[in-house]
Amino acid sequence: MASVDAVWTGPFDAEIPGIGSVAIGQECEIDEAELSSGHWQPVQAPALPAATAPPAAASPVASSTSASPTTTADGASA
Amino acid sequence: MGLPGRVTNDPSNYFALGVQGAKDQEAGTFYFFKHLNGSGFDTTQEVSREREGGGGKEIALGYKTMVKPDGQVVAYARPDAAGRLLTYALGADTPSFIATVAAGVFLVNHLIQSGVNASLPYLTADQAWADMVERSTNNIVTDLSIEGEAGRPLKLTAQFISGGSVHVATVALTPARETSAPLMYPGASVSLAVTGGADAGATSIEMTKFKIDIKNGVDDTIQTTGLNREDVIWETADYTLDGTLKYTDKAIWSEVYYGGGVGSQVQVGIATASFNFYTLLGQGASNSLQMNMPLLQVSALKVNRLDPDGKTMFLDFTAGTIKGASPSLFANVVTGATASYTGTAT
Repeated sequence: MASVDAVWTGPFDAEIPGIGSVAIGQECEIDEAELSSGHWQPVQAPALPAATAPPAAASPVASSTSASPTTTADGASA
Repeated sequence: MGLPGRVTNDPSNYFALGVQGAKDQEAGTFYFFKHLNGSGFDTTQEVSREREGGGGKEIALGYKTMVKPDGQVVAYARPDAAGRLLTYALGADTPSFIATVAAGVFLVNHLIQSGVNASLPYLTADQAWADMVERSTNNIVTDLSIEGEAGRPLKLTAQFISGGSVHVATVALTPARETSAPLMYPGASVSLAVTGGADAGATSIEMTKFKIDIKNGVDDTIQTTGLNREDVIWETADYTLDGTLKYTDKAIWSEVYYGGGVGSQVQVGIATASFNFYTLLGQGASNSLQMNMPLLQVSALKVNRLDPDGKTMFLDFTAGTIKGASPSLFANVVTGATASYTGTAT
């Protein structure tokens, strides 16, 4: 079963078997199935800022992936 | 080789209630009680066993006529548990924001009132015990008692009746339980004011115990083609209060029987009363519970007046609300829950 990082949204501080005591706003790693309880809000994985990616590796990938659709679109419209 | 036996307090056991979005629509979010003994629902089967021709003297035919997955939950009154059960029993909850305590943590007052909503929320009950998980639907709370007693936490007992089906749940839920301490009777502010005539009335704050009872009369006989009830319909509501006061003087006795200081004869009119209870979760805490019954009639008052063995004198009273323009029973519960307890997402 996949695990996800999630925040306990309450509305009360709770004791949860296998996790322990959690306060409102506390982030925990939980079983993905627990999200269906309605009490957890998944933490969105932060998007990698462009500045943190190595320029050498990012440039070719970015240019190749962005170039393809652009070329295709241009070709389709031309 | 045999298998080991089971115990009633297995850590994986739980009892939970969740508010349904509509009749026949199972709840998705549940509140797990720190249940006390006696909690849970039992699926009672009604059966018919009959004699038929050819069977001789013995029963020759048997079949089920009805199943009733009814039960109760007993728990100490933690703020969220109290707010939920009072809402389930009275029907209306209006949350109003008080303050932000910390990021994502709020203080919210829940005004829970009688006589506002025409219907009660349907609840799904989910219980796990030993290796069984069961679920029943379309429950409504038919009786809620809130008991306060010297030295003890407030105790909630809610009885519920299912107007839907019962089935084996596919998977056990993970119980998340409220960590807060219970709301206590010690430290509470309690008063009963009684007026029997044209005078100012009498008030006692020396109450050793009380019990509020919310009794919702229902039609629980609606059955169509299923073995279960098809629905449970709320028809009547009775709100009563009984309790015990330390006897200090004749003031309340005079109000109830003789119309107070202005009369010496028993009055036709029933003495009216108002009751207020307020307790904080603890010193320095913000969560609290207030319950108020402003439109009471005192129907009975008894005293232990003569006993050669020598006993402290107490007054036992019984009162019930009478319909007025404003709610005859309301509660203010301060918790962290921002949404109404009538909603499905809490």
